[in-house]
Amino acid sequence: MRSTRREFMQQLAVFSAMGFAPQFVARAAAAEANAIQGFKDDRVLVVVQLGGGNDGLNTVVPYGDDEYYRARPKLGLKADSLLRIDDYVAMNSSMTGMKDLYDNGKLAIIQGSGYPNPDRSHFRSMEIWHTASDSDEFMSRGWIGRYFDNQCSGSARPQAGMAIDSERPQAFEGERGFGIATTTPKEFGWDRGELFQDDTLFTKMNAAAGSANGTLDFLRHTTLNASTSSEQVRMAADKGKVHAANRYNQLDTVAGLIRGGLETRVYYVSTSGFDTHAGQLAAHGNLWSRVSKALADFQAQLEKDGTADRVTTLVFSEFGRRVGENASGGTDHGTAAPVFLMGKGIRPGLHGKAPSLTDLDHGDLKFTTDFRSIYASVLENWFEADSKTILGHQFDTLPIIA
Amino acid sequence: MALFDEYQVGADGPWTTAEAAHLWRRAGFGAGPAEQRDAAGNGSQAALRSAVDFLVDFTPDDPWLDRPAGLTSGGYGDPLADLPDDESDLGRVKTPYDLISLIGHWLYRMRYTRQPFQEKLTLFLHDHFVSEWAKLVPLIDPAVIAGNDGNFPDIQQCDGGTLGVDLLRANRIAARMMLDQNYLLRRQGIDSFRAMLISITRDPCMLMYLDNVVNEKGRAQENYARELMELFSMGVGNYSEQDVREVAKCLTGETLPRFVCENDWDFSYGFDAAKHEPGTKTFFGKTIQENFAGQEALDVIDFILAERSKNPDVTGLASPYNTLPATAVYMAWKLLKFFVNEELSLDPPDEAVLELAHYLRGTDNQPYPKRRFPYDFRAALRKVFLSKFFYAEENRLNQYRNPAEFVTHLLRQGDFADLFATQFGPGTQMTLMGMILFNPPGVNGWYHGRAWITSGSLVARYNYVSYLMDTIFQGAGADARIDALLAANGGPIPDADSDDDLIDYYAERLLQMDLNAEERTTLRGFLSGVDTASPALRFRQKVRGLIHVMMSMPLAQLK
Repeated sequence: MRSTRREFMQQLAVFSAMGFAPQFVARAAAAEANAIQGFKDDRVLVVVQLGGGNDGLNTVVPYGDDEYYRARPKLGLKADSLLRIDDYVAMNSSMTGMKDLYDNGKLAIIQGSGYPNPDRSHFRSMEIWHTASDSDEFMSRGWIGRYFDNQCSGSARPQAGMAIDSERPQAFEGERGFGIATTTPKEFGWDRGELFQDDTLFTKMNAAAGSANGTLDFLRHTTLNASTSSEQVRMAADKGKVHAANRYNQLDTVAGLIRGGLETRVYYVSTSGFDTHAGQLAAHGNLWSRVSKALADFQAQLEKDGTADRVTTLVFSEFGRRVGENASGGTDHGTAAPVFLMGKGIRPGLHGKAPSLTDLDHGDLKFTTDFRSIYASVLENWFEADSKTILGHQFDTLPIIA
Repeated sequence: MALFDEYQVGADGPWTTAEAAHLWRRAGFGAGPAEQRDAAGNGSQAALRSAVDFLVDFTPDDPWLDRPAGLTSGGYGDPLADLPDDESDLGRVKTPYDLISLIGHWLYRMRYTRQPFQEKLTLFLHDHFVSEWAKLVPLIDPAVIAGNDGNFPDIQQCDGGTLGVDLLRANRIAARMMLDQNYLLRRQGIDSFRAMLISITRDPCMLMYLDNVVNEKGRAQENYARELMELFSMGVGNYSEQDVREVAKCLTGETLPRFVCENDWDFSYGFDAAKHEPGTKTFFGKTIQENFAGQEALDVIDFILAERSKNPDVTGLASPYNTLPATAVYMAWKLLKFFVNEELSLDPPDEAVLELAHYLRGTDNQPYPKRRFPYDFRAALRKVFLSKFFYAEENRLNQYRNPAEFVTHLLRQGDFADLFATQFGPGTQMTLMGMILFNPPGVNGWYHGRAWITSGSLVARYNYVSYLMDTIFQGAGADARIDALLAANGGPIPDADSDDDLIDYYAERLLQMDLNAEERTTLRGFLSGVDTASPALRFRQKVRGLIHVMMSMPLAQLK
C-alpha cells in the first residue's frame, strides 16, 4: 500500500532542504485546519470546458513557423499583432488578460495535448476527456467521479463536486454519486410555496425505501443530495455574496462560493461556441477575449478574496482543429491543442513540445502530451491522490504543479 | 421477430389503464383518467390495437391547431411587417418572433394537440436533426454581416443598418427559419427517411447551422457531411475520414443562393452550380460522376441508406441480419432508446435493435398500418407500441421524462393552462431544467437518461409546480381559475370530505402509478393537518398542496 502521508513527509524534507520549509509548513497546517469536508486539505480545482473544439493554433500561435502561414493564408494571425511568448509561439491578441497572468507566473501552457488515435466526433472526444479513457475504450464513470470514489471519506458532502451548469458533467459520474449541478446557487432549493413551512414533506415523499427500480432510486438519491446540500449552497452563496445577476458569469459564481466556504473540492464550468467551421477569425477572437477576461477576473478576485493559494484552474477543449484552413474562413475538427493551468500553485511557462506543423497525420497535428498525464499531475501533485488507481494506468506526471 | 410479436391480451398480460397509461406516456404526453379509461376500453386485443392506431395514425399537422400563415412560401417578406399576435388565448403565439415565443408556440401545440404522437415524433426528430438558435441568430444579423467580421465572407454582404432594429429582425427571421424546420420535421416525420434526409439537407436552417451554406469547390467544408453520416444516419465506424471529405465535395453548392438583405430576405434553398466541385467523387468504395444539377446530394443519401453496417457484431451474424444497412441499425437504436429503453446498446447491437432494424429496412408498399416504404418510422413505432417487448416489465417506468415531457404531462394531465409566450412561461422555466427547445447543447442533441436528473434540474422541476400553483391559486381571478380547474378535472370530486378519495383522485389524474403505503401515509398526514377554518378554503388548500407534493415526487419524473 502506498502511504500518502509518508510521501508527503518526504516532499516536506525536500522542500525543507531547499529552504521553503517555514512557508510550506505554515501553509500545510492551515490547509489541514481548513480542510474541505471529506478531504485532506483545502485545495480546490476548477475545470473550465471549452466546447466545440478550440483551434489551438490560433490560440497559442506558432508564428515563428512559415508552415503556419502556408497552411493558413486567410486565418494566419500576423506576427506583429500577437502577444509574444518566445521566438516561436505567441498568444492570440485577444488574450491580454491571460498574457498578463503568464507574465506574472500564474499560467502554464501545456502544448500539444491530446491522446492516441484521436476521435473527431465532438461527443465521443468529449467523453474521452471526461472519462480519461483510451479512444477505443468506453467508460461511464468520469475521472473526477473516480477520484471522489477513491479518495474522499464518508463525511464528504454531495457538493464535493459542483457544476455551475444545467447539466451534471460526465466527469462527475461515479459510484458514490457525488456532485451536483445548478445554474443558480443563490436560489438553489425548494420553493415551498405558501402552504409548507419546511422541507419535511418533500423529503419524506422522496425518501421512501429503496425499490427494485433503479431509475426511481436514482431520482431519490439526487433529491436527497439536493435537499441535504441546498441549504449549504444557499448559505455559501449568501456568505460569498454571489449575485443572482451573475448567473451568466459562472466563474464569478465559483469565486463567490469559494469565498463563502462551500465544501467543494472540484468546480466545473463550461462554455461553447468553439466549433468554428466558418467565419473563424472574428468568432474565435471574440470567444477568447471573453474567456481570457473571465479567467483573469476570476484569478484577480481569488487574490482579492485571499483564496488564491488554494485554487488551481484547468482549461481544456475536446480537440483542436485541422492545420489547414477550409474554404469558408474556418477550420474543421482536428486533434491536439494546448491545455492551460492557472493559479499560484502551478509551475508557469510553456510545457510539453509544440507539435510539428510538417509531421502530420492526414493534415492533423500529432499530440505531444497525453492529456491524462495532466490529470495525473493534478491528482498526484495538487490533490496528493493516487492517480494510478483513479486513472487505471500510471501516466507520467509533468512538472506543472509547484 | 420474436421480441416484436404482438402483445396478446390475456396470454401475455392484461390490457388495463396501467398499460394504456404506459402507452400514452411513451407515444404521447400522458393523458387524463377519462382518455385512459377510453384507451383501456373493454380490455381486449381490439381495444389495444385501436388505442395504438388512434395515437399513431396522425395526419401531418393537427387540423385543430392552425399553422402560421405563409410558412412554406419560400421568401420571408419583411419580418418587421409581420407583427406578433396578441398574447391572449393563454399566451398562444401563432407567429413566433423570438426564442421565447418560438418555444411557447411549440409547447402550446404539445399541450393542446389532439395528435400528441405527432409532437412526440417531432420532438424525437428535433433532437436528432439538431439546429441551435444561438448559432443561427448572429449569422443572420445584418449588422454582423455588414461589419464584415469574417462570418460567412462569401455570402453577399448588406449595407449595414441600425443594430437594435437588426437584432430584432434577425430574431424574427431566425424564429421563422426554425419554425419552418420544425414544421418540416412534423410534416415529414411520417414520410420516408430518404425524403426526410433530402429535405433536411436542404433546409435553410440546417444549411446555416452546419455551414453547408458556405461549402464550395476548392476546399470543401466538412461539417455537414460529417454530421450527416455520424449523427443523422449511419453512426460512427461506418465511414472513413476519406468518405467525409468526398461526401463534403458532393454537397458543395447546396446553399441559399439568394441570401440578400434589407427588405426582401430570401433564405430559400437553391443549388449553385458555380460553387460545385467538379470531377468524380469516390466514397464507400464507389465512384460517382460529376453533376451540376444537385444530383450528387441525392446519390450521397441513397448510398448512405444502402451502405451496410461495418460492425463485426452485425456482419458476423446469420442472414438476414449480417447485411443490415448501418442506417437501419443506427435509427432503430435511436428510436428504441427514445421510445422504449435508454439502456439499449448499439455496439454490440441488442437483439431488439437488430430486429427493428430489419423491419425498418423492408417495405410492404402498402398504406398504413403497413410499411409504405423502407424506413417507415410510423409503421415501425406502431409495431413497437403493440409489442410484447414494449409492455415487458423492464421497459415500463424505466425512463426519465425530459423537461418538455414533464411540463406537458403536468399541464395535460392536470388540465392546467399556462402563459406559453411570456418570460414567465414554461419555456423559460425549462431552461433551469436543462432543456431549451430549439437550442440543444450541441449537434448531438440533448443528453438523455440520467443526464436529465441533476440536483439543480430536479429542483427546477419541483419549483415549476410551485410556480404553477401560485399562478392558479393566487392573485386576481383566482376563484374563477380554481372553479374552472375543478370543473375541467371532471367536476366535483367523489367525496370531497374524504382525504383518501382526494388522494385517489389526484393519484389517478396526475400520476397513474401506485403509491406505496408510506407515501400514502405521508399525504394523509399532510391533508389532515390543513386546518383552515373555512371549508371552501380548506378544500382549496388541500387540492393545491396535494398537486404540489405529488408532482414533487420521483414518480412524477418517470415515464
